[in-house]
Amino acid sequence: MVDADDAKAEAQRLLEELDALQQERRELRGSSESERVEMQAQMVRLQQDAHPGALEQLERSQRAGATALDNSKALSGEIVALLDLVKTFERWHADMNELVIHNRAMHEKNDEFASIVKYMIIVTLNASIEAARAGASGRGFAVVADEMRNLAARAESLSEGYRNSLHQNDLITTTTFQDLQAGGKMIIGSLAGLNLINNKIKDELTS
Amino acid sequence: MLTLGIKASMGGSTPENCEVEVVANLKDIRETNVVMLTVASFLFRISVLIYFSSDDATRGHFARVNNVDPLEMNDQAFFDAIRECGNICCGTLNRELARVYPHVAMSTPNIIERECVNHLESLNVGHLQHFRATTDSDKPFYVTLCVRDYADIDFEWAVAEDTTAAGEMEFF
Repeated sequence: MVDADDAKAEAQRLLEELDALQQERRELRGSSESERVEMQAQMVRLQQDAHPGALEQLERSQRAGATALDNSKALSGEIVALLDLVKTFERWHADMNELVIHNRAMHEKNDEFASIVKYMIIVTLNASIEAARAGASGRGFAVVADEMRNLAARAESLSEGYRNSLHQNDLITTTTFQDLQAGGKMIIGSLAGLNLINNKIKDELTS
Repeated sequence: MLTLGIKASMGGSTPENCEVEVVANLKDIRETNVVMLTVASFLFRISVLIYFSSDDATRGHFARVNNVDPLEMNDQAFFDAIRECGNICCGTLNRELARVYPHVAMSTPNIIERECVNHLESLNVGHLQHFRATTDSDKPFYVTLCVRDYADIDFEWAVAEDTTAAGEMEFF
C-alpha cells in the first residue's frame, strides 16, 4: 500500500521533472532557431559574395559567344569569297587551252616546214645528179648544189629538233594544266569542307 | 593501286582476266597517242599515261568494253571511250589515295602524242614505271606511272575488302 504522503511526493517529483524537460525543450528550440537564423545570414552573405562573380562570368561568356559568332560570320564571308577562286581556275583553264591550241598550230607549221625541207633535199640531190651529168661545165653548179644540200640537211635537223621541243612543250603544258586543274579542285574541296565546319559552329552558337 | 585502276578500266566485265606486269623501258611501247591524267595533292602529283593507237584491235577492244558495235564506233565515240578509260583508271587511283591523303583531286583527261612521253625524264620525276596490261583483246595495252614528289612520302596501303582485286602493293 502507498500512503497519501508518498503519492503526493511522487506527484511533486514528476511535476518538477516535467518542468525541467519543458525548460530543456524551450532552450533547445531557442538554440535551433538561432542556428537557423545564423545559417540564413551566412547564406545571404555567400550569395552576396558569389552573385557578382557569377554574373560577371556569365557576361564574359555571353561576350565571348557574340565575338565567336561575329568571327564565324566573318570567316563564312571569307570562305564564300574564296570559293570564287573557281573563276580564277576557269581563267587558267581557258589560258592553258589557248596555249595547247597555239602549240598545235606550231606543230602544223613545223610539219609543213619539214615537208618543204624534204622536198628541198630531193631537189638538191637532183641538182647534184644534173651537175654530174654536165661534166666539167657543171662543176660550179655541183658546188652550189652541194652547198644547198648541206643547208637543207641543217634545216631538216633544225626542224627535227624543233619538233622534239614542241613535244616537250606539249608535255610540260599538259602536266602544268592538269596540276592546276586538280590542285584547283583540291583547294575548292578543302574550302567547301571548311565552310561546312564553320556553318556547324555558327549553328551551334546561334541555337 | 594502279593495278586496280588498270584492271577496272581495261578489264571490262572481267577485270580478273586482266594481267598487269612491269615493263622495263619505253622502247617496247609503239603506240601513237597517249591519254594523260593527273592526281594532285599538296605534296605530290601523279600522272597516269595510257598508250593507244587508232587501230582495229584497239577500237574493237573499246567497242566490246562499252557494248558497242565496232562498226558504229566513230572517232568521237572512240576518243570518248579512251578518255573514259583514263577516268576510270585514274579515278580508282584517286579514290584509293584519298584513303591515305584526304586532300587529293584529279584532272580531266588530255590526249597527246606518244613522242611527248620521251620527255618525261625532264620533269624531275621521282618515280617512273611502265606497265603492260594483257586483256581478252588481241593486243596488250601499256600504262606509265609518273610520280613527282615534293616531300618524303611513304605510306602503307592494303586493298579494301569491297574491291575486286586482291593482294597488297606499296607504291613508294
